[in-house]
Amino acid sequence: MLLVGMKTLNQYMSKINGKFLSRILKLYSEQPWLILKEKELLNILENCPTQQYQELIFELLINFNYITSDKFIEYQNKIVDYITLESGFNINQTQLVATAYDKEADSSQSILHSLKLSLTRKNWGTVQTVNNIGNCIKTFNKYGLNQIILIDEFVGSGSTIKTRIEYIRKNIKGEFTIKCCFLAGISFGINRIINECNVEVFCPLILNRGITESFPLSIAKQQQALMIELEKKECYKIIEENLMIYSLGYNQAEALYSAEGISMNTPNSVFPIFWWPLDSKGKKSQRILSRFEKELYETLGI
Amino acid sequence: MKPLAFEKRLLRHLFSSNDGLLVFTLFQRVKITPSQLYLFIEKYKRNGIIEFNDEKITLTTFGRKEMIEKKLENKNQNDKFANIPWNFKGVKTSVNEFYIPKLSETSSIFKDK
Repeated sequence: MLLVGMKTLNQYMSKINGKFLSRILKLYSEQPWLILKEKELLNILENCPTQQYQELIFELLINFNYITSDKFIEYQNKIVDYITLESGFNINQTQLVATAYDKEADSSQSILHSLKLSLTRKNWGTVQTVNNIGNCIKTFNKYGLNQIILIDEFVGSGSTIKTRIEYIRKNIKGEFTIKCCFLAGISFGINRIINECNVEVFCPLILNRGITESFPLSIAKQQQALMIELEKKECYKIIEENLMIYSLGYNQAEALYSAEGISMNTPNSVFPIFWWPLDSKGKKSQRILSRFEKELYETLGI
Repeated sequence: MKPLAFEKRLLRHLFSSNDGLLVFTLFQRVKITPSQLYLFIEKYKRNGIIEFNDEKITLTTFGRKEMIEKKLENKNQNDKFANIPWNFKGVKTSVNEFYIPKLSETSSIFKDK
């Protein structure tokens, strides 16, 4: 049974030469999740105006960080080892807090909950878990749990976490310590939290910017320009004033990361070429990743 | 596990080439997607039936033997007379043996004008 329809295949067959095929096979061996996304992968490669653009897409995808359940368990265990052995915190004084703010379900809560099994195995099953920042304050006030570990799935620029930390510091009256655990994050965002907020951070998957911090400087500028051209062409309305901030990923984070393999929403720090909801014609796009973001959808009129 | 139809076609191409085939050549000959080709390579590499070295796919000696023993070659699908059951076959006329023709199906040069 073909994973791509015959009609689509014939469309692409003529464009596939020996070198291209070898690149795709290599990509599949490094990133097997793409096998199920073949149609979308061939689509993005076909929309590249020249081979140079295709080369860039291949380079970015071969280094992609796609979280599968195996990798997730590995990272979970590292986080739990940090919490139970390295943080220096005491089980009776600790609260593990998801960085969710409002009543919407949030990936930070999902990560927090998934740690429970590993925590139990390390005899920390009874540690207090808290499902949002507001309840963190209440928990401190009611039980005096002053060793706070903030848990989140992904850190981009670090501004969200910074806001949370400032909120806690403003609203808790008393002595307390904050540390942070994230599943993944961009290195400049993580450093920002460490330096500007003065907190210890543990993050098993730290990402560099996909172009700027991954290519030599002279090539990086050129590759950035190619990506921006591709975005202009393929991402509906991204050049509009209020959407430019998404170019190269929110705040130019240039992230190559997704936890779709464990049912998480892809962060907007990721290159939008991989997840932008509308294609060049303003129709619903079919991309290798997807992301739901309420405000963005409203702005685009979806 | 029983090989799929396209896998049999790929294996047949490999069987009939002495020195293996370039990946791209195989891809051109059999109409499949890159993902199908990748999964085929992984599956038969794991079973020791083929070797793959970035550019070329070759049948291993073990693979060749497996194919002969297990008849992994695809029979010629167009030859619909290849498998007629014995009880439907009539008397076979030998070469140069006389027989009575069907007049309506013979050429007009044999007919009375």
